Amino acid sequence: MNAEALKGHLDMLLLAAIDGRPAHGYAIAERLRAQSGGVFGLPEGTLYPALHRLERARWLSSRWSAVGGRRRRVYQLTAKGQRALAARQREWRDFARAVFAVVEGS
Amino acid sequence: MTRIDRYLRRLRQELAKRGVFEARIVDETRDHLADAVEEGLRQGQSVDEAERDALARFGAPELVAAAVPRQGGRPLHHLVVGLSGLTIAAIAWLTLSLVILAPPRANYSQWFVVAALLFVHCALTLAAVAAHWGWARKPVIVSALLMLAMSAWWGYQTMAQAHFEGFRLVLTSLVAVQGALTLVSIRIRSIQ
Repeated sequence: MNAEALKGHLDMLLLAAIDGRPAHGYAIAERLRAQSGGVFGLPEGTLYPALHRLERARWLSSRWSAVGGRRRRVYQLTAKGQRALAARQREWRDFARAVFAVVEGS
Repeated sequence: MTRIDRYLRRLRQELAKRGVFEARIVDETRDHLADAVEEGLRQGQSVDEAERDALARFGAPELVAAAVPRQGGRPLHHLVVGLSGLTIAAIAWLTLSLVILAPPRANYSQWFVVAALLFVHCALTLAAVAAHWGWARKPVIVSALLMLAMSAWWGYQTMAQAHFEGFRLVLTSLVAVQGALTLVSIRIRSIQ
């Protein structure tokens, strides 16, 4: 899937990848790749500006932490981020259901 | 310098072009690439292959920097660059005048110290702000702080003198303004 198609959904994907499992950037990129079966092929470097933007919106918080003997910036969802994720998941389900109904109905 | 180091240097330059001087994204990039290379090596790749793959997946520095919001302060950057250029030209002109005219009452040693400090500071400022050379950023912060301290001391001395020296006060103020503007211009702005 190309990067443009993903852009509109990137926030939700990142929030979902971190939900309940705080992670550093590389692990988040790995999760997105693994959970999508390799379909999401965003340049990994573009995840960081997105993570910083979500942190600025207070949907994520982050801290430096030692992971595997190395210092890593670990991201986790805030309460506000969890509410935002739940809202986007609802919107996405409604949207997907509507698209599916139209496409399958035609 | 390794391929990863070259990439990080280019990323810093691209970020600086957008007014972003914050080291966090560069630190995270370094960590990310180290993980990716390590993973490649675990899968049997050579160091060269692992680095190439890691960088290809990460994306070109221009692409990554373009995803970072451009930070404000561009007019201030232009002002600082212009002031630094003007100051260097003024130092050259005044020094040349001193050497050619050789006024007997001139305080040569004081002037050459001031001129050298100002020249180094302005050259570092141009390197950090105009040429986006990351290495110059810390030295320019130090020299700006030095200029502020110097101007405070001169200001104190000028005000303590029995007779008022307007020219000296103006020069002191200019040094202070130049130092403060530089500090504000290359301020650390957290992307968070």
